[in-house]
Amino acid sequence: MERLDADIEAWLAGTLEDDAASRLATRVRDDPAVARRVLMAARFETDLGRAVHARGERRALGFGSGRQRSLTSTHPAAGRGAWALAVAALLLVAVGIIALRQGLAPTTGPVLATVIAVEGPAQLRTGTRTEPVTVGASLTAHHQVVVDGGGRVQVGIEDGSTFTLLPGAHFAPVTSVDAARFYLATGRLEAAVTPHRHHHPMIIGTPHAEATVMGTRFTLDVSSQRTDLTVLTGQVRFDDRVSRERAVVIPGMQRSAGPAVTAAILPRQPRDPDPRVGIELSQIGPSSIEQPFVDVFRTAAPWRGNDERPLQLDAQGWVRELAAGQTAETFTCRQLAGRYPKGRYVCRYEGAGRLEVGGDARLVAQAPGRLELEVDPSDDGIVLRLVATDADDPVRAIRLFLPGHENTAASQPFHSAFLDRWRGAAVIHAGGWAERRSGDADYTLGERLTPGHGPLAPERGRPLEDTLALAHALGADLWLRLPHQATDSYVTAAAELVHSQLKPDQRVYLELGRDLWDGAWEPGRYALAQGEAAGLGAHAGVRWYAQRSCAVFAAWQAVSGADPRVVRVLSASTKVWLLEEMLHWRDTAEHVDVVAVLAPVGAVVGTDEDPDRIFDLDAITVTELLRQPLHGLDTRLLTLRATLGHLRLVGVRAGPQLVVSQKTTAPATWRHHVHLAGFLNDPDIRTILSEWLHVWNRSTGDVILTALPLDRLREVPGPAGEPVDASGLQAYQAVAPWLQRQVP
Amino acid sequence: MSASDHDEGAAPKPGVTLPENERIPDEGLGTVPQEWRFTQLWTAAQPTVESYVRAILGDRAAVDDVLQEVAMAVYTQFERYDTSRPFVAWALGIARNKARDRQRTQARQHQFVRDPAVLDALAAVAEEIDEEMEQRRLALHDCLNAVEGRADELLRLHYHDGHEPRDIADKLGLQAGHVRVLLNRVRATLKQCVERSLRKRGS
Repeated sequence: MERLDADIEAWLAGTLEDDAASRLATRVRDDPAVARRVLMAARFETDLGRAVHARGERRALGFGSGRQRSLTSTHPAAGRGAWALAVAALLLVAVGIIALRQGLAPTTGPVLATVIAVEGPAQLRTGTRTEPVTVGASLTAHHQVVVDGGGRVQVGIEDGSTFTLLPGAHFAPVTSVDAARFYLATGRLEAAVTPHRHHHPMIIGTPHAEATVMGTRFTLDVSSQRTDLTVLTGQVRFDDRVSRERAVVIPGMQRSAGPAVTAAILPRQPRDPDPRVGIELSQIGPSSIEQPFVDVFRTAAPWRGNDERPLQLDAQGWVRELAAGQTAETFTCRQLAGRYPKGRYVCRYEGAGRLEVGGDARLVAQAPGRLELEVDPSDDGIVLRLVATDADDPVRAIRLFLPGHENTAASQPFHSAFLDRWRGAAVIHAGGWAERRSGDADYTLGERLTPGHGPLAPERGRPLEDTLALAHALGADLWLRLPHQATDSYVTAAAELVHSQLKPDQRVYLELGRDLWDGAWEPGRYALAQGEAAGLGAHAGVRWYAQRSCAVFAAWQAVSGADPRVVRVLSASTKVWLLEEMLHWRDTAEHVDVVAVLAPVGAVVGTDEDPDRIFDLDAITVTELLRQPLHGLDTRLLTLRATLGHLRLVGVRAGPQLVVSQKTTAPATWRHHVHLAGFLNDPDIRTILSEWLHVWNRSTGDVILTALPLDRLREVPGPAGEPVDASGLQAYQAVAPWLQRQVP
Repeated sequence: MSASDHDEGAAPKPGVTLPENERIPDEGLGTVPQEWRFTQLWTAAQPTVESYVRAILGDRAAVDDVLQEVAMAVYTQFERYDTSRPFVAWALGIARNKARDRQRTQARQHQFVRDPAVLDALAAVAEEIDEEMEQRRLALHDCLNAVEGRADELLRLHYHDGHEPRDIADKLGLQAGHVRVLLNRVRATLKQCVERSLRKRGS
């Protein structure tokens, strides 16, 4: 064994003779125990090197020893010269990010840097508090350092790297993830980055580029218009965020990026003159906090019988007949804590039979086909019970009008509070109203939901006519999401309907299904199965989605012709390879106008292994997590635009979102979901979402569709007998000013 | 997705519906930037990858070069990383190919692991011992605190400053062979300390 260990050590030292090396190789191949010994020896060398290195740097910086150094003392690494690094002038356009921190007061969190020297005036800001910077101060993600004229501050991070902040610098540590990210909002800093001898990579981002550093000397100069990289020794990989050009820069070379450099290659985004904030409609049902219709029966629950016998329903969802002793019941406005209008409701219906009322409603008058109900709202909602119906003329077309709306409901179907809430929206996305169902069967024309339909399960969506009517009422463009199993005849009928009613200045966005590119949920699996059945090869689901979308657009345009009001949408994640796969499959990019990407302000806050860890989170931590995606958003958007070429970029599902796990099929229970939802109306949400919309508008100038956690309004106190006021929702407060500006 | 899909016994809050499809934030723009995830994963995997490359190539300078190439490759291909697989295994696969590329340009004397079967055997073991080695690393840090004097200086010159035994010998006025022997003794002492520490923790 000693001989073996000696051979291994000699090998790792590069001194083992050839014959012995060959013998050792044979033993490694044949005996896992020997392979293990070799690797453990190699790992020991690795760990020892790292440990010695880290100890040396800690000593040099005085971490843990309480020693401080003056700015004029020489850093050992700098003194050696070999690893002294880089002057990096990082003028990141991050003032907005810094500004966002104003008002935050927490000081807890991992220590990301330590102040090791101070000369002249400098301030340490923590939320709204300002104090002088002192040597030894620990900096977390909640601190900012502002260096005044004549001042200088040196901060160090634990791996031995130092930043010297020069007069005018406005600096903030950012991340608690890996302690490698910092922002310089304004001013200049000099960086002496420890040579990660074992090549721990450090990635320095600028608004225009990324430099991947793995032990080298270089300079970065960043202004609002460009980033210049000059390499002195070693090599640096340089990724231009906009052009997506990638280069390895060697000594003596310079590489530049930024608007001043790449203006010629940046695709021009068709830009609307105004902000283009739209909304995605939430799913509605008998208990949804948002009740858009003056006929509240439109959100009634599906019929439920009083016993085990199935109800006989017609194709429209109305009760065709009742068996002896059988009744059918439905309800609406339930579990709203009484937050819906109080007063005299009118129920109208066609056919012959008998309806009883219950819950919050009391029958006060009746005539054939017409009931009057006095409603005193509580959590029970309004109950309608069908106790008799004539099989030859069954009760159907039930409507239940809010007080005062009986005669106007046909022409003004939407509640004024609902319209006022969303007035100004540039686009109405069908979202939760989109007609859909699960399963692999074709979605045929005969299956299409139509007005006058009986009570529907919320997850089935609404008839297309409802979304179209709302877009008309709000003067907004219409975004349709067709069922992913839709047949060509369904598409043709939908096109005929829409184009018979579309206004001259109204656009219709067409999208097939929801997230068909994502194989982690049922529609994506459907696309995958279709693609595989068609023999589309690798990425079959994505390819099928692309080519089926093109076919649907063609079917639509067979009706509409080359109508410029038709906007063809392909949805995708922001993964560049996925986008390229979709757009380059056959000639998809030639048949698409818009790529819609997911734009939630989101964070993963747990893990599959330990989902309960979310219960340890506090609101400050969660909102900080939600704030992080703002960093670098503008550059990510520019990258996407560069990838899309002539296509427009639109954001969807923009709103706060927290999930337990990165997997779509999260293992979260209801308990987890409710806990996370509790954070979604934190006061910081308004600031974060507002900034999100600003960055989007600044970077793309195109449409972004918001999806708000309206359900959080349940927790906002309000009087019974009145509709919910959306202004109690922080996310709505962020969106409302945009909508107001967009009101014609 | 209905409420019942998520329900594991706890009753849903009345009237509240779960989001239809909880989407993966890192598929959208609202994401912790990709490089942060990369840095986390790479930082954790790097010692294992480095050990693997070291075991294949031996030569310290070559290890540094190849590791840099591996880091580059892992970073540039990160979008294609399948998150259902262990990151370490994926990174080791890239390291294997980079090390083979390097071997093609290496002198023939370094024949130790040209056989692909040896590369695979080492990769399999590298992944296996990953967790165990973390315990050893922590123990080594403790043991290193007890090293001082000449031993400390030798370690610093060799591992921190990157000097080979021959250069250290010149600096200290010793024979190169003597420096090698001294370094081996320090290593042996540290290894014994690590073993003792692990036994102590185990007991």
